[in-house]
Amino acid sequence: MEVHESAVGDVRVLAPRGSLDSTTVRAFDRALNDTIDRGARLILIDGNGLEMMTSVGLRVLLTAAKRLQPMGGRLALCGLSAHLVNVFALSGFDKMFAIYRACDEGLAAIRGERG
Amino acid sequence: MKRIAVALAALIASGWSSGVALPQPAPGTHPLEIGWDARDPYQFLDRAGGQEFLTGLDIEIVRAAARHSNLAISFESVGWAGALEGVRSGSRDAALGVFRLPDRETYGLFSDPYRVEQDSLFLRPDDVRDLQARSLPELFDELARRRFRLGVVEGYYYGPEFAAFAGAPGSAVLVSAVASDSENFARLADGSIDGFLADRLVGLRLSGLTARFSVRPHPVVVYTAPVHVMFSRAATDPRIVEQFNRGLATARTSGDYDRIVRRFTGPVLISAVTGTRWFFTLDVIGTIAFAISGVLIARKEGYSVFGAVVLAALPAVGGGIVRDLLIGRRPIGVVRGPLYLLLVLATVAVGFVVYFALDRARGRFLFMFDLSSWIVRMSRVVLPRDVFELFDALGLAAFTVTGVAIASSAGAEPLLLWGPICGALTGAGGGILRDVIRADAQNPALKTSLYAEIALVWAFLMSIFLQFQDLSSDPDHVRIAILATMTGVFVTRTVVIAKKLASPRF
Repeated sequence: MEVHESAVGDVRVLAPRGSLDSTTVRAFDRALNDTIDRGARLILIDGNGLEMMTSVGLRVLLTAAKRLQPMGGRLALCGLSAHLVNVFALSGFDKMFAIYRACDEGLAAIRGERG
Repeated sequence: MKRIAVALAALIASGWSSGVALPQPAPGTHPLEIGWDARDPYQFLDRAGGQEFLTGLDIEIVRAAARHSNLAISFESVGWAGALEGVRSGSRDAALGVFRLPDRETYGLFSDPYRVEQDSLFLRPDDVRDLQARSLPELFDELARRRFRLGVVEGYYYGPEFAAFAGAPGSAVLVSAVASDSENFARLADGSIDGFLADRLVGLRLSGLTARFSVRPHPVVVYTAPVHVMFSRAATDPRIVEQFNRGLATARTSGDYDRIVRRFTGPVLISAVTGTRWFFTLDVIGTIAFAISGVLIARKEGYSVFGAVVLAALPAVGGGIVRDLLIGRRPIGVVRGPLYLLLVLATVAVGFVVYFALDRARGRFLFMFDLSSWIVRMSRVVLPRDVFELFDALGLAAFTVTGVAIASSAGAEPLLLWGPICGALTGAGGGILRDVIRADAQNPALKTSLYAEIALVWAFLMSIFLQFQDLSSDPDHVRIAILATMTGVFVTRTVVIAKKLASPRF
């Protein structure tokens, strides 16, 4: 899986492409944890290129969010497909993350909350 | 005692022929004593308001004829053998539903025929398809080849062909006689016999009484002949018979006869279909679908568990309760057996457990994410709401037919009015009640959705059929009419859902 990383101020934006499932999750897990290891505390997952995600992808997100919490960090999601937004809402995991429709909105929100 | 009745009858008869007003039977005179034998739907005890009363096609026709001829009558339950013996000995005046046979002519006087009896071989539905015979000799040959175990009723006459066949030396068919058709039905259910001979209506009635086991008549008719009231030569003046016949003729011309035939024939033919397992299954599906609609609303609008039971029970059984109260059916259908209420309670209980478990699992267990993903994906192919609506349409179809059937069996006249009302009440009345209880100002069944209208229209068409079709011609016509009504309701409702058609605004 290709995970594109960029920085907007103190926010790290990770943009995975393709499906986030058991065959691709290791690459995403590594990219996400490397970002945290390098000191990133505000992370925005850009889901615009994310075609599909299973519970193994969700587990990685939950673990990362849990790791960031004691450090005062945050993990947010943006640009998810309508399908994934519905899945998060139906499964009740939308309460675990801040989910934004557009990534600009997500960026502004996560930086604002920090400030 | 008999002389008084004869003298009275003679007086009445002379009054009739001379054109003067007929006198009423004098107080204290002995009515004609008629023996009856339990054979639903011809002669049977029904129950209403906690009391049993004698009724049936034969009973009501004879009552109507007696009323029109000013004859006083009384009935006594004596069994078939007792009825014939009473007439033979003169201890009773008459017996009902009797074939006119030479040996009976020696001791009986026969009224004009008042209906036709048609005896058939009743089998398990699968066996009807297996027996290929197309004529009576072929049927008897096939029964002999199969070493068939055949049930009959002691003392009943099933026609000359059967008498010759059963009496033939070395017959491989094992014929066993019991006291009643219902015993034969029970014996076929438990496998003691392979089939039994019975009048078509009697067999279909037995079949319609329970959904656990059903029988069907083989298309080859074993015997058909008119039946009469047989009066005792020893006890009855022939002029009584003439007087009775005039009353019978008047009952026919007055419309009483047709009303009685419709009242007792229609429900039997309908119950032969509604008593089958597939109809019962649809009925159960409909009840559950209706109950689910209440559960979904209770969840969405935050009702208590008790509130959910009320919202689920109303659409499932509420319409039937209103219908039964309206037409005076006793006891009310829902209290005749606990099944439908238990289905409602079970649906609410399952709904509660499912929602409880989902609430606990949401946001906690990872499998919920994959399950939700599957649900969202599937809902792109078919919306859960549409699946539910299809089940609901099946329920509406079954409930509509049930409503017409009950209006018909309750003798609600005119059926063209009460059939549609009862059909729509059974199918849609409970849902309307539920929305009234919810104080839903947008009560969909009354404002937008084409729902009750569909039940009304198809119930009306079915009522037209029941009103004008000669029900004695072919019982399969009723089966076809019921299937057509159910298909019509289901397809119409499905089209309405698919095309999102709305009811025309007032």
